[in-house]
Amino acid sequence: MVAPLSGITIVESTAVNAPVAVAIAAGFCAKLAKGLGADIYLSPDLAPRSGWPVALRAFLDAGKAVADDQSPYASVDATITDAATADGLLLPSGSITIALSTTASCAQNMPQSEFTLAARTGVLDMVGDPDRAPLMLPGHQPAYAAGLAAFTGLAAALFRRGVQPRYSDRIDANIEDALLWLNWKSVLCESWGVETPTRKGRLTEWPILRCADGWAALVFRDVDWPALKLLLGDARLDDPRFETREARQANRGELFDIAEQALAHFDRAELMQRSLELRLPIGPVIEPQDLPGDLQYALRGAFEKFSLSDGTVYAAPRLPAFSDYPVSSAAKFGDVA
Amino acid sequence: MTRGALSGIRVLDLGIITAGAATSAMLADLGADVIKIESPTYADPFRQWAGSSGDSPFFQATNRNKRGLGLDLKIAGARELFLDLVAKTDIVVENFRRGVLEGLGLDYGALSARNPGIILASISSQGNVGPLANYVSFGTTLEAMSGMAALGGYADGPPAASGHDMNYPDQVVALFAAGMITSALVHRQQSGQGAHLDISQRELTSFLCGDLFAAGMTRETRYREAEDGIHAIQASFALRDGSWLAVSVPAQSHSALTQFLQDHNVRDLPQLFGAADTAEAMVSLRAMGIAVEPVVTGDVAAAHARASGSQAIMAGPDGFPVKGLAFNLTGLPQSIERSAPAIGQDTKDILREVLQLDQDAIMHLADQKIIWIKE
Repeated sequence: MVAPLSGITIVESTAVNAPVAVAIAAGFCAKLAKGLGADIYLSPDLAPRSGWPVALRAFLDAGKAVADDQSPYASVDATITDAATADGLLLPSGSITIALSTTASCAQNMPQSEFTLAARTGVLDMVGDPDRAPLMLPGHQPAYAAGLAAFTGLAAALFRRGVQPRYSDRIDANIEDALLWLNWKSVLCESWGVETPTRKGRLTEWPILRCADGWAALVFRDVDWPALKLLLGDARLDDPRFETREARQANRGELFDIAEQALAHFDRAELMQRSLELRLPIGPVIEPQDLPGDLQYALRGAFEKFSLSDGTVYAAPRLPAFSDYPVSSAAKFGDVA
Repeated sequence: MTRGALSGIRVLDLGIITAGAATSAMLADLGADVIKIESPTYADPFRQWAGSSGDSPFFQATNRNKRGLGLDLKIAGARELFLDLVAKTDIVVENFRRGVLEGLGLDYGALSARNPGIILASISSQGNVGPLANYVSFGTTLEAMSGMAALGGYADGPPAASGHDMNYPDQVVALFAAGMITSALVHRQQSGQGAHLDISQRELTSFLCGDLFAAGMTRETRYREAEDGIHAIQASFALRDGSWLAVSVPAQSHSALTQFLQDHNVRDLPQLFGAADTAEAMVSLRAMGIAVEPVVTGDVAAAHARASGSQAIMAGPDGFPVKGLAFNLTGLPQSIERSAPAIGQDTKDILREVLQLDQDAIMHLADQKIIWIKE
């Protein structure tokens, strides 16, 4: 079977002085292409990754090669780089350039990180307690979101080149826009005359509460209320204080306290089984180390073995790609010098 | 859309709410002809979100750039009409509950029998197959079950999710799915083969934490922005007015910061930001290469976006504020050219154009209630 981007050659090249967030976005964009069969070459001029966590380098760079004199540089289909470097590139016929940056335009000279961009775009305000420091989504979601956006542009340009052989183009993606796009509901609310949401801690619409052996996200819609009462089995929930959506909103804290007392009688496996039976969207919180053994993930082959240069083997999620295409396995980090 | 990287591509959009509908909208932005299929008996639930009267702003913001076909897939004869459209279509996008498409007789086998080159993108919470394929899930459910929630939260608090107001897995899957669908188009150009894409939002959410899995991170050792392995200091600091300031100090700026604090007789950053002129401190820090941004709400973020010329939020052709673009192509720029369609708004035009049906044939279908025409 052929992977969809098999035969495509891409050079990944972010400048030494490019922001780290941009280098990570570029690395993730290239990783997606690699996962779909493209050959990825890291430019010798690539900003060094020496200060990065080993696991991040391994996750992003597995299977990529370092470009050298024998690399097929002359037949590169696309270059993934930072916007400043892209500005200086000439576009030969049929080549595609992905240009990544932190922000759209006028704020580009200000230093930015994924964390500060999350603050600027309202994303950081969305999680945590209102009277405490806000919480960042774990990992590199801002850079990865820009990498995803850039990849879609790359794929579209590759398709266009198949229709129009001499087509060249530059695709611009930036982390600020990717975050604004993801946070669109919050960003657009005021313009619609709707109250702008902000973090509410435990009083959020769907809190994460303790259960017998860990935690569970109490996710439910109004239509789920009868089934949720059945699951929780606490007569206090029949009180008119919880009868309507408005009443439940007004008494949210007390509702969640009662729910948490009821959830103390369920472990996560039981909760999952009962939720499946009752068609409730409750989410048992599953820890990363337990996911490779999760039945749904195991049957679907959602994880693959992953080696670091010191020989440590981890299970990491594979690219959730097509059912018709083979999974591209994560090569050892030693493939990249 | 008159011109775009995907001009000439046709999409039948069975997507609803966010994941499916937003994916199709991205394809429309790239120039594809996206035909949103609904009927008066089954409309996109996003039209009525949060008890709105008329089409909700969430629906309008998501479904711009599409045409509207009124087609009731549950009516006898509708299946055949849909398959006639499939024969002239490149992509079908759906995010129904698992089993719905099969129940309608429109699974991938049926579609590919009519059009071997069809690309069916099935976007689901838990995946198309598996023991939890029918597990009802929303964004927070998936953050909980993917490992992401476990890797977040305060040191003394519960796991954390982006929650109902952001629903991160629902939003990010559109960015991913659009790229996978377009990659399938690239492969079809070379091979002539269609594909059935089985896109699980839960798996994607895990994949997006892949480096943390590779680090062997657990709930005990969970993610801390202060310890990302890249920045010397990264945290939010409280200001005297109760607001917060996000600060990222790269390793190479740490000694300059230390000197700055000494020079200003300040012990540390919390003390610095407790002082009178935070704005002046921000200027100095930025000059040292330190990133500083106030933590703002979405409405303030919108003001920043408008000031910086961001395309991530835009005005539709009727001036209504809608989702914009997450990226753009210089040579074939994307644009918002249509407002979100009413149900059946373009039924006649679509059936004439795609299937060459004449007026009598169209009215016959309408009389049978297979199609719906908005007058």
